[in-house]
Amino acid sequence: MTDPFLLSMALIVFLSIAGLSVGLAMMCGSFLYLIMKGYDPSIASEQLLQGLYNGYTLLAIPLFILAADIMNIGSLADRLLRFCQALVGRFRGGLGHVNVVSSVIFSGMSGSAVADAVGMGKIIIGLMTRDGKYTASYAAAITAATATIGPIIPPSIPMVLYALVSDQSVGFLFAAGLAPGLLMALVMAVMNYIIARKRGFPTDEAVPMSELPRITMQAFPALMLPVILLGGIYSGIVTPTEAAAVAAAYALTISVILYRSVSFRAFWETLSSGARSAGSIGVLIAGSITFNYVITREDVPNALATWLGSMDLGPTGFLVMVNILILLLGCVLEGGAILLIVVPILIPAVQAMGIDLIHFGVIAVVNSMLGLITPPYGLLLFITANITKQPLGAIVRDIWPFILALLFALGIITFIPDFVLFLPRLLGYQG
Amino acid sequence: MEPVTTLWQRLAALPRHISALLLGSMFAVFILQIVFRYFLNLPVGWTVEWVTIAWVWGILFSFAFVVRQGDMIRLDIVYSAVPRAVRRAFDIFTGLTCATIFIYTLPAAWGYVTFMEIERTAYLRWPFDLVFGIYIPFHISVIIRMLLTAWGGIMGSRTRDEVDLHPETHDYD
Amino acid sequence: ADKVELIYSDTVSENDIRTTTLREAFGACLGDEFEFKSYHGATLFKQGTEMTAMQRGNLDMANLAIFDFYNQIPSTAILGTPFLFRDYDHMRAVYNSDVLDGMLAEIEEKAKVKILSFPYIGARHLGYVGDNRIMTPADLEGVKLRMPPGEGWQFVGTAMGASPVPVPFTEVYTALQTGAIDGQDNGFPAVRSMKFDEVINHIGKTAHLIAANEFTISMSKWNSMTEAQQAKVQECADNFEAALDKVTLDQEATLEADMVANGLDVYTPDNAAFQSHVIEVYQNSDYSKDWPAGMIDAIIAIGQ
Ligand code: NA
Ligand code: NA
Repeated sequence: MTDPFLLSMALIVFLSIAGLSVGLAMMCGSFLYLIMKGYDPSIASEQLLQGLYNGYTLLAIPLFILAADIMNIGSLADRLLRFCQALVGRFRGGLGHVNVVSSVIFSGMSGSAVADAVGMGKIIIGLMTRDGKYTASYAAAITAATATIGPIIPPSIPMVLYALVSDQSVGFLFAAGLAPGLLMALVMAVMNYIIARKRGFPTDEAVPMSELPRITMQAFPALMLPVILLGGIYSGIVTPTEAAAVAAAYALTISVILYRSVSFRAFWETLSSGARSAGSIGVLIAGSITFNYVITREDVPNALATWLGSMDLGPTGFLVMVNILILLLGCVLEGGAILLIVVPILIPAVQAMGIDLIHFGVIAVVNSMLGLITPPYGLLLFITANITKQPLGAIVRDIWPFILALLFALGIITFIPDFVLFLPRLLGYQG
Repeated sequence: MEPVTTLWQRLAALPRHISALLLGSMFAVFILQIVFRYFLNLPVGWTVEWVTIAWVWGILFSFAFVVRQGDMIRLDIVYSAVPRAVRRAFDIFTGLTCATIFIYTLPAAWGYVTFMEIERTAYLRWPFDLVFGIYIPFHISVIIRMLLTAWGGIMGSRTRDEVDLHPETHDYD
Repeated sequence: ADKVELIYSDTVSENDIRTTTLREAFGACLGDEFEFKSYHGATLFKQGTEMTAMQRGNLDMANLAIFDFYNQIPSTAILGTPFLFRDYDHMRAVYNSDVLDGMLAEIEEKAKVKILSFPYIGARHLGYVGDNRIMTPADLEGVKLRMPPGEGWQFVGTAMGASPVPVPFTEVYTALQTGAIDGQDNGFPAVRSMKFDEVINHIGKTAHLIAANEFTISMSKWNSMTEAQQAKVQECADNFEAALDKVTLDQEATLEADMVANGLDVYTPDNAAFQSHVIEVYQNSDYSKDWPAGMIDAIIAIGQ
């Protein structure tokens, strides 16, 4: 590694800490590196343009954002929640369980944790805190924690990002996420039950069984969406990238025809805000693409692989190291940044260790989603704090048990590869 | 004077409409592609190309003309914790550094984009200097925005709304 | 004296045997006067962007595909025509002859890159699921054949008589298994590495594309070297071509024998029928409009 490389790294870190857009900071670092090395500075522009132009799988990102937005402005999210309440509201810690189950179902339609927290989160936090049944900080904490399931159960934007950097099949990655996602839901439901007993949270008023068919019928079109998406992907009718467009089209059709709940004006607003999100996310991705050139040119992946190899860890020790590394990075970095910058550096070493790349992908994605709820920098913490107007500290206090529960799930996912890989193998994965 | 205001507002809203149109066309063309391939058994190639071009344009166009400072993805943990004076110093430093680097590299970037005239896209056969043309307005808009950021730091005129994080912009996680 | 630095980029993965072969047969062959830095897996430059990178002086060498030249030198399209070569020996004889000299000169003059050698990377065959053998173009009618995404590739499928379907490479296994497609057209190494041989039951050795890469250096780099250095680079490029030819041929023979042993039906279809059909389709299409006059006959004549 040369001085220009270390200087450009330092510039990126400092510009980011000083509040510059992370994507622009990485572009600045890349330009600086090229200038100091005496290379053609336009290489950064070339990498940015060609990287975006050739990243076909990236196209799923704006479409999933669009799909989630449409589900929120239509009444699909509302109807789903009523269904979940009828199903599990009657148990101890009832609305907490409703929160878990609704996250599972919603995650089958959306690829984004933040979309889940914003969409379902607003409604369910309102339900939980009404009449003072649950403290606002607990409602915020469990909403943030369960939203991490969103990108684990397919479809999933982070899995698409990982597929891009690791050259693995999106279809197999999606299949690999299902069991871990359900496990995460299970450990959080158990934790909710334990806390509800200890703190004396109420059960929810039971919805009469006679009401269940009607409520199910109302939620039925929404419940069908995960089935349609996964069916479409695994029967080969649509690619995982196209599935994002199908999700958006389905949500739009249902909202307009069945529920008459979306006007053209509202749809156009959604498109416009979706494009704005795509702009800010796209520039982050673009920045990481340009800096990736610098990392490659400096042979950083080889150096890292050599370093890891020299420590003489077995695959198990290596995975423990990597998990700790990503957890620590997750405290200060975005999940997307971890997947786009840090994970590609690790992949050659992962291959050399003989670790399965699909298994590793699920570990990396689950772990980086944990980063969304670990302080100090946890996006889901910020969002639920914003919804509930609670101080961050109170939410952090209530979220610790859930972080522990998720760490337990991460342990199982890391050390029992078959638990992750049995489903992709059923679908033909050869790893 | 009211019609003038309306006209101005309409003009100001135009970039938002264009970016919405780009995303909308990605959505529509993707659906077209599925319909053509699986229901009419007619594989078409231009759809993928259109969607890809709309994505490149959508990102760079939105960032250049639509995205607000607060929409950008930033690590504001330190920034939001330091006193106002330090924040102004940060703004001046980041604004000037970034603007200088982008001004210095503008000629090279221009050179690359115009050079790409010799290559064409696979289906639509569009020259790549047009496909990549949106990069230049993007590059220039970064320069202008960063100079404004630095200026805001010098004058102390940046509002909280301008720099606060908008949570809905982090949908990619 | 300063070493001559050669920055190289390709799309083959770091662990592939072709990468090892390149480093040994070319990189090590160059000796102390050169510093050969190779980047693999499209990590330095994306697939298809290496040529412009070389033209802008940001990359010295690459192993290109013939389609990479099409935008700037349309006449090169002829070398991507299916059934142009009867077999490996025919392909090698054509590249060793002077038939292509005019085209190579045009490439050096207009595209400012120099092709040093044409290493063989393998032949593509029809691998499919079915009850009957496919022997002629007529047998391919209605067969959903996966071809790589891209207009030129899709047309290869059409010209052979199939219904081409573009599916991303990593999704082909699942698509074969679910019946979304009936077949694909990769060579033996790719069929094995992607485990397609577990979900297909026939391989018809059409060898419809006998593919060689274009091992290329930028003219600016070439002209910056002394004559002795140029001679060394050319010698090692030829060395690399010979080494990669051998690696590929050995691998194809081994894998074919292994697949036959595993019960796969590997046979040779009526390739003469395919050849006349495909060449005719191409000659009647836009794809032949850039072919240099008389070249197709000259190439076919070498194979007689
Ligand atoms: Na999901
Ligand atoms: Na965090």
